[in-house]
Amino acid sequence: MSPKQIRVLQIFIILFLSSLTLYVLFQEAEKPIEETLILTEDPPTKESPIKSKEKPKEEKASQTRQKDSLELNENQKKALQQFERRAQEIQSKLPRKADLQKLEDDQVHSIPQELLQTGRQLGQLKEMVLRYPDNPVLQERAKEFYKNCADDEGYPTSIRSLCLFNRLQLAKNSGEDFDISPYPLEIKELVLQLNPFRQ
Amino acid sequence: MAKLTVANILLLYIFLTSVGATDNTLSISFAPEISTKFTNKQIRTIYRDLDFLSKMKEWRDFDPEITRGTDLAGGASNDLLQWLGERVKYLVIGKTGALPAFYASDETRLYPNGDTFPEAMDNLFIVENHNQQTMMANLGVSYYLFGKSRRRLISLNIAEHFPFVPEILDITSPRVGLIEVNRSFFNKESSITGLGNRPADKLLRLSFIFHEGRHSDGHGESLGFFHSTCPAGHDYAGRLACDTPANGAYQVSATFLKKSAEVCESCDEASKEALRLAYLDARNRILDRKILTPDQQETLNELENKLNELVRSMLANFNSASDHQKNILLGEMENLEIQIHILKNGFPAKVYWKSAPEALE
Repeated sequence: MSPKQIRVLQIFIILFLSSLTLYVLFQEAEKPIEETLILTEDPPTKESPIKSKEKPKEEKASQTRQKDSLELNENQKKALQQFERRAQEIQSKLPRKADLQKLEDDQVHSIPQELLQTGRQLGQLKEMVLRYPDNPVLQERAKEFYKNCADDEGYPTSIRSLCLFNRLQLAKNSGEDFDISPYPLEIKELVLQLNPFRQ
Repeated sequence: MAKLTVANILLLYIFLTSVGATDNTLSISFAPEISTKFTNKQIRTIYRDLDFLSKMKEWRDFDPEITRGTDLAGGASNDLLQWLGERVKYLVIGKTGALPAFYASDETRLYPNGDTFPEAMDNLFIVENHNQQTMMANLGVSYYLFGKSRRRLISLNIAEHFPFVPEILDITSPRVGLIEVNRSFFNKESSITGLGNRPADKLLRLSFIFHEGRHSDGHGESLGFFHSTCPAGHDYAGRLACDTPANGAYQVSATFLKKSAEVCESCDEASKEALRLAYLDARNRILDRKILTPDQQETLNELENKLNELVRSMLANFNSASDHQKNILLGEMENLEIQIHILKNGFPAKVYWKSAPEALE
Protein backbone atom coordinates (compact mmCIF):
# COMPACT_ATOMS: atom_id res chain seq x y z
CA MET A 1 0.00 0.00 0.00
CA SER A 2 1.23 3.50 -0.82
CA PRO A 3 1.63 6.08 1.97
CA LYS A 4 -1.36 7.93 0.58
CA GLN A 5 -3.56 4.82 0.86
CA ILE A 6 -2.30 4.19 4.36
CA ARG A 7 -3.20 7.76 5.29
CA VAL A 8 -6.69 7.34 3.83
CA LEU A 9 -7.07 4.08 5.70
CA GLN A 10 -6.05 5.72 8.97
CA ILE A 11 -8.56 8.54 8.45
CA PHE A 12 -11.25 6.02 7.66
CA ILE A 13 -10.56 3.98 10.79
CA ILE A 14 -10.64 7.12 12.93
CA LEU A 15 -13.95 8.18 11.35
CA PHE A 16 -15.40 4.71 11.81
CA LEU A 17 -14.42 4.48 15.47
CA SER A 18 -15.74 7.98 16.12
CA SER A 19 -19.10 7.27 14.56
CA LEU A 20 -19.34 3.95 16.38
CA THR A 21 -18.62 5.70 19.66
CA LEU A 22 -21.21 8.38 18.95
CA TYR A 23 -23.76 5.70 18.05
CA VAL A 24 -23.19 3.83 21.29
CA LEU A 25 -23.37 7.03 23.31
CA PHE A 26 -26.57 8.02 21.55
CA GLN A 27 -28.17 4.68 22.34
CA GLU A 28 -27.18 5.03 25.97
CA ALA A 29 -28.49 8.60 26.07
CA GLU A 30 -31.88 7.39 24.83
CA LYS A 31 -32.15 5.08 27.76
CA PRO A 32 -33.70 7.08 30.54
CA ILE A 33 -32.12 7.24 33.92
CA GLU A 34 -33.99 4.82 36.06
CA GLU A 35 -35.69 6.18 39.06
CA THR A 36 -33.97 4.56 41.93
CA LEU A 37 -34.92 4.45 45.50
CA ILE A 38 -32.18 5.95 47.56
CA LEU A 39 -31.81 3.23 50.09
CA THR A 40 -28.90 1.66 51.78
CA GLU A 41 -27.26 -0.90 49.56
CA ASP A 42 -26.59 -3.26 52.42
CA PRO A 43 -28.74 -6.37 52.29
CA PRO A 44 -31.20 -6.92 55.11
CA THR A 45 -29.46 -8.42 58.09
CA LYS A 46 -30.64 -10.11 61.19
CA GLU A 47 -31.70 -7.88 64.01
CA SER A 48 -28.91 -6.99 66.41
CA PRO A 49 -29.59 -7.27 70.14
CA ILE A 50 -30.60 -4.18 72.05
CA LYS A 51 -27.49 -2.68 73.55
CA SER A 52 -28.84 0.27 75.45
CA LYS A 53 -31.36 -0.31 78.20
CA GLU A 54 -32.04 3.34 78.85
CA LYS A 55 -35.25 4.60 77.27
CA PRO A 56 -36.22 8.30 77.10
CA LYS A 57 -39.54 9.30 78.64
CA GLU A 58 -42.03 10.03 75.79
CA GLU A 59 -45.69 9.61 74.93
CA LYS A 60 -46.95 6.05 74.56
CA ALA A 61 -47.22 6.05 70.72
CA SER A 62 -43.78 7.47 70.16
CA GLN A 63 -42.39 5.24 72.91
CA THR A 64 -43.75 2.24 71.06
CA ARG A 65 -42.29 3.46 67.79
CA GLN A 66 -38.96 4.15 69.38
CA LYS A 67 -38.97 0.74 70.99
CA ASP A 68 -39.70 -0.78 67.60
CA SER A 69 -36.84 1.16 66.12
CA LEU A 70 -34.47 0.12 68.87
CA GLU A 71 -35.11 -3.53 68.00
CA LEU A 72 -34.00 -2.94 64.44
CA ASN A 73 -30.48 -2.74 63.18
CA GLU A 74 -29.23 0.39 61.47
CA ASN A 75 -30.09 -0.77 57.97
CA GLN A 76 -33.59 -1.66 58.99
CA LYS A 77 -34.05 1.65 60.73
CA LYS A 78 -32.93 3.51 57.63
CA ALA A 79 -35.27 1.47 55.47
CA LEU A 80 -38.10 2.09 57.89
CA GLN A 81 -37.50 5.83 57.94
CA GLN A 82 -37.36 5.91 54.19
CA PHE A 83 -40.56 3.90 53.94
CA GLU A 84 -42.43 6.09 56.42
CA ARG A 85 -41.32 9.24 54.68
CA ARG A 86 -42.32 7.90 51.29
CA ALA A 87 -45.63 6.56 52.54
CA GLN A 88 -46.48 9.92 54.04
CA GLU A 89 -45.59 11.72 50.82
CA ILE A 90 -47.70 9.35 48.77
CA GLN A 91 -50.65 9.51 51.13
CA SER A 92 -50.67 13.29 50.95
CA LYS A 93 -50.76 13.14 47.15
CA LEU A 94 -53.32 10.37 46.62
CA PRO A 95 -56.08 11.79 44.43
CA ARG A 96 -59.58 11.81 45.87
CA LYS A 97 -62.86 11.15 44.10
CA ALA A 98 -63.54 14.86 44.19
CA ASP A 99 -60.31 15.47 42.29
CA LEU A 100 -61.39 13.13 39.52
CA GLN A 101 -64.72 14.91 39.32
CA LYS A 102 -62.93 18.15 38.45
CA LEU A 103 -61.26 16.67 35.40
CA GLU A 104 -62.47 17.41 31.89
CA ASP A 105 -64.39 14.76 29.95
CA ASP A 106 -61.51 13.97 27.64
CA GLN A 107 -59.20 13.47 30.61
CA VAL A 108 -61.33 10.67 32.05
CA HIS A 109 -62.05 8.72 28.89
CA SER A 110 -58.95 6.68 29.67
CA ILE A 111 -57.10 6.39 32.96
CA PRO A 112 -56.33 9.94 34.15
CA GLN A 113 -52.74 11.03 34.52
CA GLU A 114 -53.33 11.55 38.22
CA LEU A 115 -54.04 7.84 38.62
CA LEU A 116 -51.07 6.89 36.48
CA GLN A 117 -48.86 8.89 38.77
CA THR A 118 -50.49 7.24 41.78
CA GLY A 119 -49.82 3.84 40.26
CA ARG A 120 -46.14 4.72 39.89
CA GLN A 121 -45.91 5.84 43.49
CA LEU A 122 -47.80 2.89 44.91
CA GLY A 123 -45.61 0.65 42.81
CA GLN A 124 -42.46 2.12 44.33
CA LEU A 125 -43.92 1.64 47.79
CA LYS A 126 -44.74 -1.97 47.05
CA GLU A 127 -41.20 -2.60 45.94
CA MET A 128 -39.99 -1.37 49.29
CA VAL A 129 -42.40 -3.68 51.07
CA LEU A 130 -41.22 -6.64 49.01
CA ARG A 131 -37.58 -5.71 49.45
CA TYR A 132 -37.72 -5.89 53.24
CA PRO A 133 -39.91 -8.86 54.19
CA ASP A 134 -37.80 -9.41 57.31
CA ASN A 135 -38.32 -5.93 58.66
CA PRO A 136 -41.34 -6.49 60.90
CA VAL A 137 -41.90 -2.83 61.73
CA LEU A 138 -41.81 -1.82 58.09
CA GLN A 139 -44.29 -4.56 57.31
CA GLU A 140 -46.60 -3.29 60.04
CA ARG A 141 -46.37 0.26 58.74
CA ALA A 142 -47.23 -1.04 55.29
CA LYS A 143 -50.30 -2.77 56.67
CA GLU A 144 -51.37 0.48 58.33
CA PHE A 145 -50.85 2.42 55.13
CA TYR A 146 -52.85 0.02 53.00
CA LYS A 147 -55.63 -0.29 55.55
CA ASN A 148 -55.99 3.49 55.94
CA CYS A 149 -56.07 3.82 52.19
CA ALA A 150 -58.68 1.07 51.74
CA ASP A 151 -60.84 2.45 54.55
CA ASP A 152 -61.07 5.98 53.21
CA GLU A 153 -64.30 6.39 51.25
CA GLY A 154 -63.00 9.58 49.71
CA TYR A 155 -60.49 7.73 47.57
CA PRO A 156 -61.46 6.38 44.14
CA THR A 157 -62.63 2.79 44.04
CA SER A 158 -59.61 1.69 42.03
CA ILE A 159 -57.15 3.00 44.62
CA ARG A 160 -59.10 1.56 47.55
CA SER A 161 -59.26 -1.80 45.78
CA LEU A 162 -55.54 -1.89 45.12
CA CYS A 163 -54.81 -1.00 48.74
CA LEU A 164 -57.17 -3.68 49.99
CA PHE A 165 -55.56 -6.17 47.65
CA ASN A 166 -52.13 -5.41 49.10
CA ARG A 167 -53.47 -5.45 52.66
CA LEU A 168 -54.96 -8.87 52.03
CA GLN A 169 -51.70 -10.16 50.58
CA LEU A 170 -49.77 -8.98 53.63
CA ALA A 171 -52.32 -10.72 55.85
CA LYS A 172 -51.98 -13.88 53.80
CA ASN A 173 -48.19 -13.81 54.03
CA SER A 174 -48.20 -13.37 57.80
CA GLY A 175 -51.06 -15.75 58.55
CA GLU A 176 -53.01 -12.87 60.03
CA ASP A 177 -56.75 -12.84 60.68
CA PHE A 178 -58.08 -9.93 58.62
CA ASP A 179 -61.77 -9.23 58.21
CA ILE A 180 -62.90 -7.83 54.84
CA SER A 181 -66.59 -7.61 55.75
CA PRO A 182 -66.58 -3.83 56.40
CA TYR A 183 -65.64 -3.13 52.80
CA PRO A 184 -68.18 -2.55 50.01
CA LEU A 185 -68.95 -5.57 47.87
CA GLU A 186 -67.88 -3.80 44.68
CA ILE A 187 -64.40 -3.33 46.12
CA LYS A 188 -64.18 -6.91 47.33
CA GLU A 189 -65.20 -8.16 43.91
CA LEU A 190 -62.50 -6.08 42.24
CA VAL A 191 -59.91 -7.33 44.72
CA LEU A 192 -60.81 -10.96 44.14
CA GLN A 193 -60.55 -10.41 40.37
CA LEU A 194 -56.83 -9.84 41.01
CA ASN A 195 -56.58 -13.33 42.53
CA PRO A 196 -54.84 -12.35 45.78
CA PHE A 197 -54.57 -15.95 46.88
CA ARG A 198 -53.01 -17.18 43.68
CA GLN A 199 -50.12 -14.71 43.68
CA MET B 1 -6.93 -12.81 2.08
CA ALA B 2 -8.86 -9.79 0.70
CA LYS B 3 -6.88 -6.71 -0.14
CA LEU B 4 -7.11 -3.88 2.33
CA THR B 5 -8.50 -1.44 -0.19
CA VAL B 6 -10.61 1.64 0.44
CA ALA B 7 -13.64 -0.08 -1.08
CA ASN B 8 -13.32 -3.08 1.22
CA ILE B 9 -12.95 -0.85 4.26
CA LEU B 10 -16.04 1.08 3.23
CA LEU B 11 -18.00 -2.16 2.93
CA LEU B 12 -16.70 -3.29 6.30
CA TYR B 13 -17.75 0.04 7.82
CA ILE B 14 -21.28 -0.25 6.41
CA PHE B 15 -21.55 -3.85 7.60
CA LEU B 16 -20.37 -3.07 11.14
CA THR B 17 -22.65 -0.07 11.60
CA SER B 18 -25.66 -2.00 10.32
CA VAL B 19 -24.99 -4.72 12.92
CA GLY B 20 -25.43 -2.08 15.61
CA ALA B 21 -28.87 -1.29 14.26
CA THR B 22 -30.45 -4.68 15.08
CA ASP B 23 -32.55 -2.95 17.71
CA ASN B 24 -34.66 -1.68 14.83
CA THR B 25 -35.39 -5.15 13.51
CA LEU B 26 -39.12 -5.79 13.72
CA SER B 27 -40.94 -9.06 13.38
CA ILE B 28 -44.59 -8.07 13.70
CA SER B 29 -47.20 -9.89 11.68
CA PHE B 30 -49.63 -6.97 11.80
CA ALA B 31 -49.08 -3.29 11.34
CA PRO B 32 -51.69 -0.67 10.57
CA GLU B 33 -51.23 1.95 7.90
CA ILE B 34 -49.77 4.96 9.67
CA SER B 35 -50.36 8.44 8.34
CA THR B 36 -47.44 10.40 6.95
CA LYS B 37 -48.42 13.20 9.32
CA PHE B 38 -46.91 11.32 12.26
CA THR B 39 -43.31 12.09 13.14
CA ASN B 40 -40.70 9.37 12.65
CA LYS B 41 -40.35 9.03 16.39
CA GLN B 42 -44.09 8.51 16.82
CA ILE B 43 -44.13 5.90 14.07
CA ARG B 44 -41.21 4.08 15.67
CA THR B 45 -43.02 4.09 19.01
CA ILE B 46 -46.09 2.44 17.51
CA TYR B 47 -44.09 -0.18 15.65
CA ARG B 48 -41.96 -0.96 18.67
CA ASP B 49 -45.02 -1.38 20.84
CA LEU B 50 -46.49 -3.87 18.40
CA ASP B 51 -43.15 -5.60 18.07
CA PHE B 52 -42.94 -5.89 21.84
CA LEU B 53 -46.36 -7.53 21.90
CA SER B 54 -45.41 -9.95 19.16
CA LYS B 55 -42.34 -11.06 21.09
CA MET B 56 -44.09 -11.64 24.37
CA LYS B 57 -44.37 -15.26 25.35
CA GLU B 58 -47.66 -17.05 25.51
CA TRP B 59 -50.41 -15.30 27.36
CA ARG B 60 -52.44 -17.29 29.82
CA ASP B 61 -55.92 -18.20 28.68
CA PHE B 62 -58.52 -15.53 29.00
CA ASP B 63 -61.81 -16.11 30.80
CA PRO B 64 -63.92 -18.18 28.37
CA GLU B 65 -66.87 -15.84 28.85
CA ILE B 66 -64.71 -12.88 27.90
CA THR B 67 -63.39 -14.73 24.89
CA ARG B 68 -66.90 -15.63 23.88
CA GLY B 69 -68.10 -12.06 24.28
CA THR B 70 -65.17 -10.25 22.68
CA ASP B 71 -63.40 -12.83 20.49
CA LEU B 72 -60.31 -11.89 22.45
CA ALA B 73 -58.40 -15.08 23.14
CA GLY B 74 -55.21 -15.69 25.01
CA GLY B 75 -52.71 -18.30 24.03
CA ALA B 76 -50.35 -16.62 21.62
CA SER B 77 -49.45 -13.02 20.95
CA ASN B 78 -50.24 -13.54 17.28
CA ASP B 79 -53.87 -14.21 18.20
CA LEU B 80 -54.03 -10.84 19.87
CA LEU B 81 -52.32 -9.16 16.95
CA GLN B 82 -54.75 -10.79 14.56
CA TRP B 83 -57.66 -9.52 16.62
CA LEU B 84 -56.15 -6.06 16.45
CA GLY B 85 -55.41 -6.32 12.75
CA GLU B 86 -59.08 -6.95 11.99
CA ARG B 87 -60.14 -3.80 13.80
CA VAL B 88 -57.34 -1.21 13.56
CA LYS B 89 -56.23 -0.51 10.00
CA TYR B 90 -55.44 3.17 9.66
CA LEU B 91 -53.92 5.55 12.16
CA VAL B 92 -54.16 9.33 11.71
CA ILE B 93 -52.70 11.97 14.01
CA GLY B 94 -55.14 14.28 15.74
CA LYS B 95 -55.11 18.00 16.43
CA THR B 96 -52.36 19.23 14.12
CA GLY B 97 -53.10 16.86 11.27
CA ALA B 98 -56.13 17.67 9.21
CA LEU B 99 -58.69 14.92 8.90
CA PRO B 100 -59.14 13.34 5.48
CA ALA B 101 -61.73 15.12 3.40
CA PHE B 102 -64.98 13.17 3.29
CA TYR B 103 -67.70 12.92 0.72
CA ALA B 104 -71.25 11.67 0.91
CA SER B 105 -72.68 9.75 -2.00
CA ASP B 106 -75.53 11.29 -3.95
CA GLU B 107 -77.59 8.13 -4.00
CA THR B 108 -79.38 6.74 -1.00
CA ARG B 109 -77.92 3.60 0.52
CA LEU B 110 -79.80 1.04 2.56
CA TYR B 111 -77.82 0.22 5.64
CA PRO B 112 -78.25 -3.05 7.56
CA ASN B 113 -80.34 -2.68 10.74
CA GLY B 114 -81.37 0.59 9.14
CA ASP B 115 -83.56 1.87 11.95
CA THR B 116 -81.53 0.58 14.84
CA PHE B 117 -78.92 2.83 16.33
CA PRO B 118 -76.90 2.62 19.54
CA GLU B 119 -78.47 4.21 22.60
CA ALA B 120 -75.49 6.42 23.26
CA MET B 121 -74.39 8.10 20.08
CA ASP B 122 -71.99 10.57 21.63
CA ASN B 123 -69.75 10.46 18.65
CA LEU B 124 -72.39 11.17 16.03
CA PHE B 125 -71.46 14.81 15.72
CA ILE B 126 -67.74 14.26 15.87
CA VAL B 127 -67.62 14.36 12.11
CA GLU B 128 -69.50 17.62 11.73
CA ASN B 129 -67.97 19.37 14.67
CA HIS B 130 -64.71 17.60 15.10
CA ASN B 131 -62.76 18.58 18.13
CA GLN B 132 -60.58 15.67 19.07
CA GLN B 133 -59.63 15.95 22.70
CA THR B 134 -59.46 12.37 23.90
CA MET B 135 -56.24 10.45 23.53
CA MET B 136 -57.66 8.24 20.81
CA ALA B 137 -60.91 8.03 18.91
CA ASN B 138 -62.38 5.50 16.50
CA LEU B 139 -63.31 7.68 13.56
CA GLY B 140 -64.32 4.79 11.37
CA VAL B 141 -67.42 4.02 13.40
CA SER B 142 -68.25 7.72 13.64
CA TYR B 143 -68.11 8.15 9.86
CA TYR B 144 -70.11 4.96 9.42
CA LEU B 145 -72.83 6.15 11.78
CA PHE B 146 -72.82 9.54 10.11
CA GLY B 147 -73.47 7.86 6.78
CA LYS B 148 -76.05 5.48 8.23
CA SER B 149 -78.01 8.32 9.83
CA ARG B 150 -78.18 10.07 6.44
CA ARG B 151 -78.42 6.90 4.36
CA ARG B 152 -75.45 7.96 2.34
CA LEU B 153 -72.16 6.21 1.73
CA ILE B 154 -69.31 8.19 3.19
CA SER B 155 -65.97 8.10 1.42
CA LEU B 156 -62.68 9.59 2.45
CA ASN B 157 -59.81 10.84 0.33
CA ILE B 158 -56.85 9.50 2.22
CA ALA B 159 -54.14 10.08 -0.36
CA GLU B 160 -52.52 12.84 1.64
CA HIS B 161 -52.23 10.60 4.70
CA PHE B 162 -51.56 7.25 3.09
CA PRO B 163 -49.84 7.65 -0.26
CA PHE B 164 -49.31 3.92 -0.81
CA VAL B 165 -52.91 2.69 -0.56
CA PRO B 166 -55.92 3.37 -2.80
CA GLU B 167 -56.85 7.03 -2.68
CA ILE B 168 -60.51 6.63 -1.74
CA LEU B 169 -61.64 4.78 1.36
CA ASP B 170 -65.31 3.83 1.40
CA ILE B 171 -66.73 3.60 4.89
CA THR B 172 -68.84 0.51 4.41
CA SER B 173 -68.38 -0.86 7.92
CA PRO B 174 -67.09 0.24 11.33
CA ARG B 175 -64.37 -2.32 10.67
CA VAL B 176 -62.75 0.18 8.33
CA GLY B 177 -60.65 0.67 11.45
CA LEU B 178 -59.78 4.36 11.11
CA ILE B 179 -58.34 5.49 14.43
CA GLU B 180 -57.31 8.99 15.40
CA VAL B 181 -54.39 9.33 17.79
CA ASN B 182 -53.77 12.47 19.80
CA ARG B 183 -50.24 13.60 20.57
CA SER B 184 -50.85 12.98 24.27
CA PHE B 185 -50.74 9.27 23.43
CA PHE B 186 -46.97 9.61 23.12
CA ASN B 187 -46.41 11.82 26.18
CA LYS B 188 -44.30 10.47 29.01
CA GLU B 189 -46.85 11.78 31.48
CA SER B 190 -49.42 9.46 29.92
CA SER B 191 -47.27 6.41 30.59
CA ILE B 192 -47.03 3.92 33.44
CA THR B 193 -43.46 4.68 34.47
CA GLY B 194 -43.31 8.32 33.43
CA LEU B 195 -40.49 7.41 31.07
CA GLY B 196 -42.47 6.30 28.06
CA ASN B 197 -40.37 3.46 26.72
CA ARG B 198 -40.53 0.74 29.36
CA PRO B 199 -42.37 -2.54 28.77
CA ALA B 200 -45.27 -1.46 30.98
CA ASP B 201 -45.57 1.80 29.01
CA LYS B 202 -45.85 -0.14 25.78
CA LEU B 203 -48.51 -2.37 27.30
CA LEU B 204 -50.56 0.62 28.47
CA ARG B 205 -50.46 2.19 25.02
CA LEU B 206 -51.41 -1.15 23.50
CA SER B 207 -54.38 -1.36 25.86
CA PHE B 208 -55.62 1.96 24.45
CA ILE B 209 -55.31 0.62 20.91
CA PHE B 210 -57.19 -2.55 21.86
CA HIS B 211 -59.87 -0.40 23.46
CA GLU B 212 -60.38 1.61 20.28
CA GLY B 213 -60.30 -1.56 18.24
CA ARG B 214 -63.35 -2.81 20.11
CA HIS B 215 -65.31 0.22 18.91
CA SER B 216 -64.95 -1.23 15.40
CA ASP B 217 -67.36 -4.02 16.31
CA GLY B 218 -71.08 -4.32 16.79
CA HIS B 219 -74.25 -3.95 14.77
CA GLY B 220 -77.59 -2.29 15.38
CA GLU B 221 -77.86 -1.44 19.04
CA SER B 222 -74.34 -2.61 19.80
CA LEU B 223 -72.76 -0.77 16.88
CA GLY B 224 -69.56 0.86 18.00
CA PHE B 225 -69.98 -0.28 21.63
CA PHE B 226 -70.47 3.31 22.69
CA HIS B 227 -69.92 4.29 26.30
CA SER B 228 -72.59 4.97 28.86
CA THR B 229 -72.96 7.64 31.51
CA CYS B 230 -71.43 6.63 34.82
CA PRO B 231 -74.05 6.63 37.60
CA ALA B 232 -74.16 8.81 40.70
CA GLY B 233 -71.59 7.82 43.27
CA HIS B 234 -69.23 6.41 40.66
CA ASP B 235 -65.68 7.73 40.42
CA TYR B 236 -66.64 9.28 37.07
CA ALA B 237 -70.25 10.06 37.87
CA GLY B 238 -72.05 11.87 35.08
CA ARG B 239 -69.34 11.26 32.48
CA LEU B 240 -69.53 9.18 29.30
CA ALA B 241 -66.80 6.99 30.69
CA CYS B 242 -68.51 3.74 31.58
CA ASP B 243 -69.84 0.72 29.71
CA THR B 244 -73.18 -0.96 30.14
CA PRO B 245 -72.50 -4.15 28.20
CA ALA B 246 -70.00 -6.41 29.90
CA ASN B 247 -68.17 -7.05 26.62
CA GLY B 248 -67.47 -3.50 25.54
CA ALA B 249 -64.31 -1.51 25.04
CA TYR B 250 -63.43 -1.15 28.73
CA GLN B 251 -63.72 -4.92 29.17
CA VAL B 252 -61.23 -5.41 26.35
CA SER B 253 -58.72 -2.94 27.77
CA ALA B 254 -59.26 -4.23 31.32
CA THR B 255 -58.67 -7.81 30.25
CA PHE B 256 -55.54 -6.84 28.36
CA LEU B 257 -54.17 -4.85 31.32
CA LYS B 258 -54.89 -7.62 33.82
CA LYS B 259 -53.14 -10.19 31.70
CA SER B 260 -50.25 -7.81 31.08
CA ALA B 261 -49.62 -7.51 34.80
CA GLU B 262 -49.65 -11.30 35.08
CA VAL B 263 -47.46 -12.27 32.14
CA CYS B 264 -45.03 -9.38 31.66
CA GLU B 265 -41.71 -10.91 32.67
CA SER B 266 -39.70 -7.80 31.83
CA CYS B 267 -41.89 -5.57 34.03
CA ASP B 268 -40.64 -4.80 37.52
CA GLU B 269 -42.96 -5.05 40.49
CA ALA B 270 -43.61 -1.31 40.55
CA SER B 271 -44.79 -1.40 36.94
CA LYS B 272 -47.00 -4.41 37.60
CA GLU B 273 -48.61 -2.59 40.51
CA ALA B 274 -49.32 0.39 38.26
CA LEU B 275 -50.75 -1.94 35.59
CA ARG B 276 -53.04 -3.42 38.25
CA LEU B 277 -54.30 0.05 39.11
CA ALA B 278 -54.94 0.73 35.42
CA TYR B 279 -56.86 -2.54 35.24
CA LEU B 280 -58.94 -1.68 38.31
CA ASP B 281 -59.75 1.74 36.85
CA ALA B 282 -60.96 0.15 33.59
CA ARG B 283 -62.79 -2.73 35.26
CA ASN B 284 -64.63 -0.39 37.59
CA ARG B 285 -66.15 1.36 34.57
CA ILE B 286 -68.10 -1.73 33.53
CA LEU B 287 -71.55 -1.24 34.96
CA ASP B 288 -72.93 -4.64 35.80
CA ARG B 289 -75.44 -3.80 38.45
CA LYS B 290 -79.18 -3.88 38.41
CA ILE B 291 -81.77 -2.87 40.97
CA LEU B 292 -82.51 -5.80 43.26
CA THR B 293 -85.78 -6.77 44.94
CA PRO B 294 -85.70 -6.98 48.76
CA ASP B 295 -85.51 -10.79 48.57
CA GLN B 296 -82.66 -10.63 46.13
CA GLN B 297 -80.89 -8.10 48.34
CA GLU B 298 -81.27 -10.43 51.29
CA THR B 299 -79.83 -13.30 49.29
CA LEU B 300 -77.00 -11.07 48.17
CA ASN B 301 -76.24 -10.14 51.78
CA GLU B 302 -76.09 -13.83 52.71
CA LEU B 303 -73.75 -14.59 49.84
CA GLU B 304 -71.57 -11.67 50.80
CA ASN B 305 -71.37 -12.89 54.39
CA LYS B 306 -70.35 -16.33 53.18
CA LEU B 307 -67.67 -14.73 51.04
CA ASN B 308 -66.33 -12.74 54.00
CA GLU B 309 -66.12 -15.90 56.10
CA LEU B 310 -64.48 -17.84 53.31
CA VAL B 311 -61.77 -15.18 52.94
CA ARG B 312 -61.12 -15.28 56.69
CA SER B 313 -60.91 -19.04 56.55
CA MET B 314 -58.52 -18.80 53.66
CA LEU B 315 -56.29 -16.39 55.55
CA ALA B 316 -56.34 -18.53 58.70
CA ASN B 317 -55.42 -21.73 56.89
CA PHE B 318 -53.34 -20.47 53.99
CA ASN B 319 -49.94 -21.34 55.43
CA SER B 320 -50.95 -24.69 56.86
CA ALA B 321 -53.36 -25.99 54.24
CA SER B 322 -52.29 -28.36 51.50
CA ASP B 323 -52.57 -27.32 47.86
CA HIS B 324 -55.61 -29.53 47.51
CA GLN B 325 -57.37 -27.86 50.43
CA LYS B 326 -56.47 -24.41 49.10
CA ASN B 327 -57.89 -25.30 45.70
CA ILE B 328 -61.14 -26.42 47.33
CA LEU B 329 -61.42 -23.13 49.18
CA LEU B 330 -60.56 -21.16 46.05
CA GLY B 331 -63.16 -23.11 44.13
CA GLU B 332 -65.80 -22.28 46.74
CA MET B 333 -64.76 -18.64 46.58
CA GLU B 334 -65.04 -18.53 42.80
CA ASN B 335 -68.39 -20.27 42.99
CA LEU B 336 -69.67 -17.63 45.41
CA GLU B 337 -68.36 -14.86 43.17
CA ILE B 338 -70.28 -16.31 40.25
CA GLN B 339 -73.46 -16.55 42.29
CA ILE B 340 -73.09 -12.93 43.39
CA HIS B 341 -72.39 -11.87 39.83
CA ILE B 342 -75.45 -13.70 38.49
CA LEU B 343 -77.66 -12.24 41.20
CA LYS B 344 -76.48 -8.68 40.63
CA ASN B 345 -76.51 -8.78 36.87
CA GLY B 346 -79.06 -11.34 35.85
CA PHE B 347 -77.88 -14.17 33.67
CA PRO B 348 -76.57 -13.53 31.24
CA ALA B 349 -75.38 -10.04 32.09
CA LYS B 350 -75.99 -7.50 29.40
CA VAL B 351 -73.68 -8.84 26.77
CA TYR B 352 -74.00 -8.41 23.05
CA TRP B 353 -72.93 -11.97 22.32
CA LYS B 354 -73.11 -11.43 18.60
CA SER B 355 -70.89 -8.45 18.20
CA ALA B 356 -69.85 -8.95 14.60
CA PRO B 357 -69.80 -5.63 12.75
CA GLU B 358 -72.50 -4.70 10.28
CA ALA B 359 -71.47 -3.69 6.78
CA LEU B 360 -72.85 -2.12 3.63
CA GLU B 361 -72.87 -4.44 0.68
